[in-house]
Amino acid sequence: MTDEEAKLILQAYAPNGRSAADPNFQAALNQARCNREVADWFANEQALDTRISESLSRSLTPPTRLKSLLLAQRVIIRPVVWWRKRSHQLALAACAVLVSILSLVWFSRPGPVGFDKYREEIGGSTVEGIEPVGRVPRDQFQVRRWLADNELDADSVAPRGLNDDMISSCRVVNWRGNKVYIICYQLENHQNAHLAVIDRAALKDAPAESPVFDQIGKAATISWSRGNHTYMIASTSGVASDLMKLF
Amino acid sequence: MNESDYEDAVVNYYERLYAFGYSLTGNQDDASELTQEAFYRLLTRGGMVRDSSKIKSWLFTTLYRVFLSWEQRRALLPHFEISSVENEIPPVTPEQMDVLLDNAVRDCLLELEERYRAPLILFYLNDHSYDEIASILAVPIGTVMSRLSRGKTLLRKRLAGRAIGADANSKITHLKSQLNSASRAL
Repeated sequence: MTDEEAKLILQAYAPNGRSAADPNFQAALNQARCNREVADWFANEQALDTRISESLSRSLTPPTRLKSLLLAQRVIIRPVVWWRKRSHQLALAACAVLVSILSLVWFSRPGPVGFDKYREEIGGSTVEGIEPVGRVPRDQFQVRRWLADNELDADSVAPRGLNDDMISSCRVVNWRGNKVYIICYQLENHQNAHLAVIDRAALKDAPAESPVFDQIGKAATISWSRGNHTYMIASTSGVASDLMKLF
Repeated sequence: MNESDYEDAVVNYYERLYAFGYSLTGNQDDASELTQEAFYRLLTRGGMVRDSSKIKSWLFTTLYRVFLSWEQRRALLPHFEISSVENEIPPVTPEQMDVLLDNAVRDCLLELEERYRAPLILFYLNDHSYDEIASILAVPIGTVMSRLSRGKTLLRKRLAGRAIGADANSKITHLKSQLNSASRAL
């Protein structure tokens, strides 16, 4: 370490001896002990720094009332705990509303319903009496577009006895929180048949792939599942044997 | 932060904080306001200071940041250049210091640029090591060392200039009184 380096370091040496224990000054202090010129310079430096420090302490005294003001501040401005701050309260309220909405949505989600119930309410009803969701297509062109929009390929799912030309209308209805796509066919004997398509997971005990025939009062139904969907053909004025002819 | 800790912080640090604030702003009102702002923030945001031993550094750092934000907003920081004439003035000696008034020392400090003034006052407050000064001012330790060195040199040249002026004034006053005595004798 050169003398100049030692002096540069010792310039940061606190005049009140506070730096004595700082190991970073030891080498420079040793240099001062060994070199008279550096030692004299350091003594002069410390004497000056001490006087300047004392002088500044005397001239930079705060106004007499500042301390009282600062102490009074703790009474005037009470520390606000975080959950009492308005911004945090608003955030908490927003969170509570969000949780409520999510809970509502979660708990109001429709659970699977028994297939018997579905067959009874959809198959046994006059589908026209159920309020449709959205627009009901009125002509053949609209029907085809509606089927395409809803990814329903009637030809591939309907039995051989039902074809597109026989479709009279289509609609989507909301049944216990589930969408049911209903395609209405006009049969030759002036009777109606409805093909209802529902998400298979919406039913607790959806039928297997083999068609199941049922008679509910005056309504006849044929039900089966394929892939993710469950299908049901219902005719409120027919009998199961008439529907069987469609297959 | 509870009331007792706050009170301790006020008692222990407010004078030095004020001195630091004064050295930065150069006037009593702004220094008081800076000090109050630092303590206000301690009161309202002091919960962030988990370690009570860090309160001192936190207060000085906060005060300095508030000052910098003022400076940015107002852009009215006075800027003093050291004149070339002062390079020819010899450094002040301890004896000359006796001639100087405390306020003159303070004024000499205030005439320095803020980059030298801030580390110098923290150094002369005798309360901070150079690495603490670096932390408060958010500059590297090497920068603190060089600014301290340069700042001290500049301060002492200014002090020497004042001391010479004060010494000359004292001699003039002495001569005047001698002349008055002589004229009365005549």
